[in-house]
Amino acid sequence: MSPSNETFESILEAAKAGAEWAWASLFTELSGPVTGYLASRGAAEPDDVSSEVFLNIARSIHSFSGDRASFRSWVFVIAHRKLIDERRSRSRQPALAEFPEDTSSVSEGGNVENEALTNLITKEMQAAFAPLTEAQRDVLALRLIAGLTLDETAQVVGKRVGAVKALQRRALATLHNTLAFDSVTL
Amino acid sequence: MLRHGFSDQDVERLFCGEKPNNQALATLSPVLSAFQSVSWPSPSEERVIRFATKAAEVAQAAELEPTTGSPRRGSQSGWLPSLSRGLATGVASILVFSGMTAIAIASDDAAPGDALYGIDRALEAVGIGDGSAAERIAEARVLFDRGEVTAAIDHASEAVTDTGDDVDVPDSSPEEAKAAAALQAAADKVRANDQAQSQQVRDAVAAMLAEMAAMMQDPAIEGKDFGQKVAELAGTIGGNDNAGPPEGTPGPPEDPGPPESPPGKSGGNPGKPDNTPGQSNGGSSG
Repeated sequence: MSPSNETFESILEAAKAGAEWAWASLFTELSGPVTGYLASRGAAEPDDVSSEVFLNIARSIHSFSGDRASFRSWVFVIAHRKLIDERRSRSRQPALAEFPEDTSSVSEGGNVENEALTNLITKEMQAAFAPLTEAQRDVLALRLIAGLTLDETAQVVGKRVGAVKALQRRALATLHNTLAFDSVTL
Repeated sequence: MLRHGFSDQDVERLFCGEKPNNQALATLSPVLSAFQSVSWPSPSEERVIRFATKAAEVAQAAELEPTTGSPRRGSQSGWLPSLSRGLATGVASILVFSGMTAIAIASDDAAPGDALYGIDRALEAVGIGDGSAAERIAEARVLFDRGEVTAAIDHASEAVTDTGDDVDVPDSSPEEAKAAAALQAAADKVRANDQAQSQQVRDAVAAMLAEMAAMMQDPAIEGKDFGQKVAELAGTIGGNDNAGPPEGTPGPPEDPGPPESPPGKSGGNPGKPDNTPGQSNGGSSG
């Protein structure tokens, strides 16, 4: 059963009823972007945190109702929350580097080339994002990696749409100003 | 230097992979699409199956326990007062009118750590619940009432960074940054010196939260005044209480929500702790 054959509504209902196929579908669809978002934002163990996010979802699934887009937003809200929690506990241990040296957490049988490419892109992204503020990086990562809309992004970071627009603009302006002086080949 | 000479629509074009009108923005296209086009590894089939089995169990178990809070929560009753507070607000009546039921009502006033907090945020985006700084302060008060004093301070710092209107707002004015840093320092002080139980500290935090809530209601107060005042109030937290053991009746034990370092770690040395917050720009929020 591919996701396109099943409406989100039926997947959600089945997930609530404890159907494994429904959970497999949701996890397959969203786990990549969630892990990618967490990795791009410097989470120490993106795979582990990603699994936690989805188990949280499983625990609270009965209190959710909405469409595919709100579900996606909810998932990223939780992922973002965990990211913030990790940052806070990390900020109390200043010895840890802000970006982990090695972002190749075990992806358990994932494609090796894919992983190498992922690490490369992650490092490039982190380098490009270095002059941005944390809030700006979060917004860009949610827009680019998670593929969220403006409204969904605002929801996840808990700011007004106007504030997110401002963050985007500043981030892009800064990116242009810094990258324009580097020859970035991608 | 690229100034903000490009429109919001142009920015959206960029994110959608279309060519923006602004030349400078257009130069960013290849950079952004490279990031965008990364296909993050899909989970292996084995991992999917393992997860699905676990999730199905968890979902089934959760169905049998409708009143569950997080099992590690010290006091489950913290949930119920939040519920009644939610019912007392005007938002509840709007929700009922629009056909949303217990889900939306119950999640309003959910604070971080509650199972429904994620839904609370999701609802805010569709216009239910405010999602504004005022709501963050209300959530901070819920946390405070539960005895999670340091979590309340941390959460209040989110309110500081969302004082903008729908105009070109700096993501961190100097006053906001100062306020956020002061709150961070206050939280660290309280945490490090195990002052969460001190009545004096609790009073200072309660006063600060009340003041923040009152300021949010006052349309005359501007963002920078708000930030300034918060910085002042945060500075008074845990000020002179380093001399002896905590006074007053201890509050309920602090619930280990987000992971935090054990209390009493840095002893009782007076003066500001010498910590350097990683990012004090108040940009982190969720």
